[in-house]
Amino acid sequence: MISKQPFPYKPEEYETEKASNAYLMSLVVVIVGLPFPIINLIATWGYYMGQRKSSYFVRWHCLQALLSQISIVIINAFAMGWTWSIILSDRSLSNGYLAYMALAVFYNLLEFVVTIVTAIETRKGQHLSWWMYGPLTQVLCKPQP
Amino acid sequence: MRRFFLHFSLSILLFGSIWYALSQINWIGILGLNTLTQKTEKKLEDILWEAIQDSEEICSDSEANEALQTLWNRLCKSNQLDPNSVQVHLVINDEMNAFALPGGHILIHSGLIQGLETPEELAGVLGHEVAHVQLNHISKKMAKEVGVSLLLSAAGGGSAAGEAIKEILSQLSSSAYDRGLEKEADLKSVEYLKNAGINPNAMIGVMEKLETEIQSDLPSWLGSHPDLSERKEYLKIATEHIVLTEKPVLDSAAWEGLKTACD
Repeated sequence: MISKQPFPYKPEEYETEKASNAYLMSLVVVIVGLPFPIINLIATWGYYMGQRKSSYFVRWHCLQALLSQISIVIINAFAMGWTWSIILSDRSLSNGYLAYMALAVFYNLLEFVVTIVTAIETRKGQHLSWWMYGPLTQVLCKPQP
Repeated sequence: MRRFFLHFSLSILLFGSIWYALSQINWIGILGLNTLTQKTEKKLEDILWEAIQDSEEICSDSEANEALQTLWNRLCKSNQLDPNSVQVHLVINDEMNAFALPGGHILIHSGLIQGLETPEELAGVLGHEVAHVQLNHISKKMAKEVGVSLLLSAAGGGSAAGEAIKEILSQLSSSAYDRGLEKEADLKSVEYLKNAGINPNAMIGVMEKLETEIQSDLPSWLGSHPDLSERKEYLKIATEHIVLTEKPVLDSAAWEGLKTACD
């Protein structure tokens, strides 16, 4: 799910700190964000916007942290919608729903762990690229802002 | 970008496959959720029925109850319904009302029977309530309108249970189901009557009587029923091409006896 990749230059201490904070941002808001998945997305979007003029390394990781929120937002929003439809309408509890919830919980935990690992490694100056979001960030983030 | 699309497609495929595989497991059975729900429902059925017995006067006139049983048996036989799935009770109450409780108890007010003209109309009302029972509308309505938390507090006993039971009974006896469920029950009743050789047109007569009651501004529960003229319209469409050899539902003596029972 994550792989170490070479980066065009060795980032400075302040860059690794800012880049690492982008991942921590998505963890800090996780408690608030659980019932409202969109909050994580807004928070990482806000942090990314604040770092638009930063160095390539910082922007790259801020963007990867932001993009990585998309799948979890969609998965959690669908889980919430399905749950509310069971509570408020005629839908009943099904094996499909419970399977989806189990998978959503697993995905949330996996993303949580991967985010922590990435934050730690990024702080050490390592360049970690995520499955799917790494290649997308590579396309979207250019060395010059 | 090609790598992203490759990863994206593989991710969707992987997520979908794992979800599908996990869905094949009987989670509800393994976690015992079905048993839990059934247990709670059973407990609730007993509590509500006890509350009704305490608050309502059930008519014990044997001839009247026999007449109601004859109607129910007629619907059962021709529709392959389990005779034990429903118990019909005659309640001494002037209000024109009939409703179903969890557990298959159908309560018909004496006031309703007095307001109807023919036993076929009563069969239509009974068919409608039986349809609510058979189509599992009652638990749907309770979960939606009463709320899961109130149901659990009623089933759980304790100080909050009394109020919760009152609220549930008030919801079940005094307001209509939503339009979709009412229509489903009306059309199911048409089917029951048709199969039993009873003219389902009688249901239109019931709607007309309910309309008259609303106009005379009598019981409030009628006012909350969804558009009766709309119900009349779809009943007319559903019944217009039905041709059947009618067999009398009750003889006139039994019908008159039922109307005057427990006066």
